[in-house]
Amino acid sequence: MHKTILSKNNLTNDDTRDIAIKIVDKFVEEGLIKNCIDTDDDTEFDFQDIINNVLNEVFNIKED
Amino acid sequence: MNNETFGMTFQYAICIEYDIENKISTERIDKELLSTFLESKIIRKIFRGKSKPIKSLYKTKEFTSEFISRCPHSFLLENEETFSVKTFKGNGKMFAPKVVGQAGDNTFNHFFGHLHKNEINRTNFKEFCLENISEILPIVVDYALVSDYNCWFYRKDETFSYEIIKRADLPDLTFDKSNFTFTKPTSQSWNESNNLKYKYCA
Repeated sequence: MHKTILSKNNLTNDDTRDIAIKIVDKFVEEGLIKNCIDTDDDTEFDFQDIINNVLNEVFNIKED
Repeated sequence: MNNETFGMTFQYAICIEYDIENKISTERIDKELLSTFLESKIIRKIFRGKSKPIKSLYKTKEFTSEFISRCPHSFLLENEETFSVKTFKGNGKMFAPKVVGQAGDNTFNHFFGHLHKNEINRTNFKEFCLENISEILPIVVDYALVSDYNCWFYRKDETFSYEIIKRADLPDLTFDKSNFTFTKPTSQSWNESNNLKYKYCA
C-alpha cells in the first residue's frame, strides 16, 4: 500500500519533512509538545526528525 | 535516550570532573551514561592543554540581555573564555544556532530587522529570507559558534567522538547572493521547509 501511495504521489524527503513540521506544529498547538520558540530547546526538532525518519522508512525515501 | 538527556548528562559529567556547582537537575541525568563519561576520561582529554572550566553557566543570567533570555554558553573557563557543548546523534550536524535559531517575532526583528524596511512577520518572512539570505547567513553562523570554544559531541551506537571549533578561527564571512539557490525558490512554492545550497568558488 505504501509503495502505491509513493508511486502515486512521488513523495520526496522535502515532502515528508514538511509533513513532520505540520504534525509537530499541531502537537505544539495542542500543548502536547512544549513550544520551543525563543529557547535553545531541541525538543521540537527531535520530534520532527523522528516523524520525518519514520515517514521516510515507511515510504522508502532516501534523505538528500 | 533522547539527545537532551545525553547533552545534560555530558554537562553534568564536566561539573563532576571539575567539581563545579551547577543547577542541573539530577532527574535529567542518565546515571549509567554519567559513569561511562567519567570512566572514559574523555572530559580530561577535551580540556587537555586548555583553560579548565570553573563555572557552570547553565540556567544563569550571565551573558543575557532583553533578547537573549538564556545564557548561550555552557561553561566559563579559568581564563574567562566561554565553552559550549552541543550534542549530536550519529553523524548528524543539523542544529538550530542559539539565540537566533528559534527566534520569536520580537527576537527575530531585533537581530535581523535592520535588513528590512518593514517589520518582519509571518506574512513577509519567506520573501525576506529569499531576498536577504546572503546577509542573514553570516549572523546565523556567528551564533552557531557563539562561544569561544564550541564542543560538538557525537554519539553513534556506543561510541563517542568530538571536535572543538574555536570562534577565533571563524573567518570573516561574505556570501555572494548569486551563488545561493533554494530548492523552493519562491514564497508560493515554499511550503514548510526549504533547502539552501551555496556554490562555493575557491
